[in-house]
Amino acid sequence: MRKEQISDALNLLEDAVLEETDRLRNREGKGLDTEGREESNREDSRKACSRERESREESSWEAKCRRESRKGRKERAGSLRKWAAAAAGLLLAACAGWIIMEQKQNQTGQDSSLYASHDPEGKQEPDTQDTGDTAGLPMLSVAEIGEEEAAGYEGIRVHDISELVDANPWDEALGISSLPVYENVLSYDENYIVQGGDFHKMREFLLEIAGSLGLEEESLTITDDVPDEETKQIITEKLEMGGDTVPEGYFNPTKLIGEAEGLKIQVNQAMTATVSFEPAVSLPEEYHFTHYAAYGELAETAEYLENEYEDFIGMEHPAANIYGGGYNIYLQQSYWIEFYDRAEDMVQRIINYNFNRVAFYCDDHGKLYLARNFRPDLSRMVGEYPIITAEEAKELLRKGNYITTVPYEMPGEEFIGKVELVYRVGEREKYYMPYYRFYVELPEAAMDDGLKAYGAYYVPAVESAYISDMPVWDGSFNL
Amino acid sequence: MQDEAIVGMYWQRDENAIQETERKYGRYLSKIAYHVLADLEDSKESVNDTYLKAWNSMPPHRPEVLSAYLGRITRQLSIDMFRGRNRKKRQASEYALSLSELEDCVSGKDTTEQDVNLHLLSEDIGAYLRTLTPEARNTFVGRYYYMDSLKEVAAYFGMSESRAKSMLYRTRQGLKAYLEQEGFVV
Repeated sequence: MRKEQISDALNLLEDAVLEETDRLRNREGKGLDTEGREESNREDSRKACSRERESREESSWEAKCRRESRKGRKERAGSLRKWAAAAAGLLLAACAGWIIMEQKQNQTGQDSSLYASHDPEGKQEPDTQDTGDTAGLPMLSVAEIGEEEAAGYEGIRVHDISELVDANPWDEALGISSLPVYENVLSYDENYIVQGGDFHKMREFLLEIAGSLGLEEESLTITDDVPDEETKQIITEKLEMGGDTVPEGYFNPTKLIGEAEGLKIQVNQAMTATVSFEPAVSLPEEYHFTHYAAYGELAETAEYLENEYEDFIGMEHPAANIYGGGYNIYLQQSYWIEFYDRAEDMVQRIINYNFNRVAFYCDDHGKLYLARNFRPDLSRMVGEYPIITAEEAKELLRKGNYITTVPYEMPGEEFIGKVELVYRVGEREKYYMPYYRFYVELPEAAMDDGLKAYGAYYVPAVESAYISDMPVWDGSFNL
Repeated sequence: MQDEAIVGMYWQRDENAIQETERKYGRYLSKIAYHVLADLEDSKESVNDTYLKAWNSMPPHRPEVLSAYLGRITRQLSIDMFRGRNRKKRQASEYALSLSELEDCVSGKDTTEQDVNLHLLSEDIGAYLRTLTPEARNTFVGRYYYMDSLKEVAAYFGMSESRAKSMLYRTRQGLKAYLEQEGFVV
């Protein structure tokens, strides 16, 4: 027998076997968060591992596709033309119309993304110079859900939506009528190479984190992630093998790295400090810090971590956020630990909850192996925007004015399980603005294990008058 | 759009079926193709050929799991394309790497009889996989069907790469023993 025959035989495996693995691939490998929270910064420890992959380490499909994604829109039309030519005998006339549509999308800068603009021609460009109705506030654009985070969909599986927990300080009863919107100081070029990071601030942040962990500056070896010449050569040759070239700025530094005494601290341009404990730290045996620890167990662990890492957390009034509660396909329930500063001012508390966070992650052996301190640059405040109520957002949801990675149309108001106000804080958001996140039961995604599947749908919380491109779900999603 | 609706469009000879397929499964299929071919242009060609093959095969086929149906087509087309390549290009592929690992399961001897028994072989592999733990089964399928990297399959269950590697090794050894027991000359 030849190894190729084994491989060929795998092509004939039952659908169920392939589906089972595919679900895991979507969940872990591509950013699907089946456990509750979507934002790229809010990762469980396993996803935190995969997040450690830097773009230049991603030699596979993902990294290339990101770089290709822009120019790929033009090429896609070319590919489709090629297909159409092959099938010309069958459907020449019909395909012509389709190709024209593709080309039109390319010309207008749209692609088959998660939602379409309400402008059917796609000509309406976001413009911060325009102003909204009366307050003189700049118009805002709703960011696309990035390709890198749109694989799979954001959802949870629970017996009842009440099992999904977090410490979100927002409550409708607070009656908050306006919230700040910030412009992301970082931008990404067509090759998804980040620009805008302040390396001086990053260095200060790194030193501050090191100090909070008891390290002296002198004991730290600080480097960046620019590859050595040999690695550059290997990467260049690898890309050239695929007919590609190294984009400009590809080898620029993206983060600072400090190492000393079994600790590795990395600060990226989004001002996220990632601390790797090498070796991982064992907690006293009475604390259970594992992937599937119960809520109460993690609450106790959080208390321990709060005391043990008080300086690293560095908050005046730290509040633990034990969040999660979703089940995986093996019916294992997971929660995660974060902290945020419980400021007196409610708006500041909401900002802290969404942006200024500290998270701890366990490894497979129940040890602390990673921690993150999130301190994004919020210096570019665009303005204080009036926000709609959750009830008004529900109406927009009903009308299809939402963004989502869920592959199903919102099934109906009666399926809404929960609503909360959050900021979408992905590093590639153009604006950090508030959204209402609706967890909606998905009858089409139900499995026969007694659990209900809920998907997350986001409706902009800022008044529609200030949104230049209110999304309308068009039936598509990114897998 | 739901799979059932897309399949329905194929049956109605609605050309929008291709567009919907591309929209929903383009990235998924591209990844499979890229893992085999490690070349974006070739991958795009393979995926486009998949759409054509899907168009030509529905009807008569009405797949229940469209992703699996399309993925199989892409995988096989990509492997066929891979086999037509020169040696240098083959080495750069994740498929080539995973294939070399599968050497543990076989002796390397060609047996003409078994060339035509892929369905039987597949059934036995499926039966063997069902005896495994979910971790071992999915790690194996992820690595050798989807050709995900070791790092990616390790991430399925949050395990270390070394653990995934040793698990895959044991699974390959187990598969070899199982196939021998079932009468295959491996």
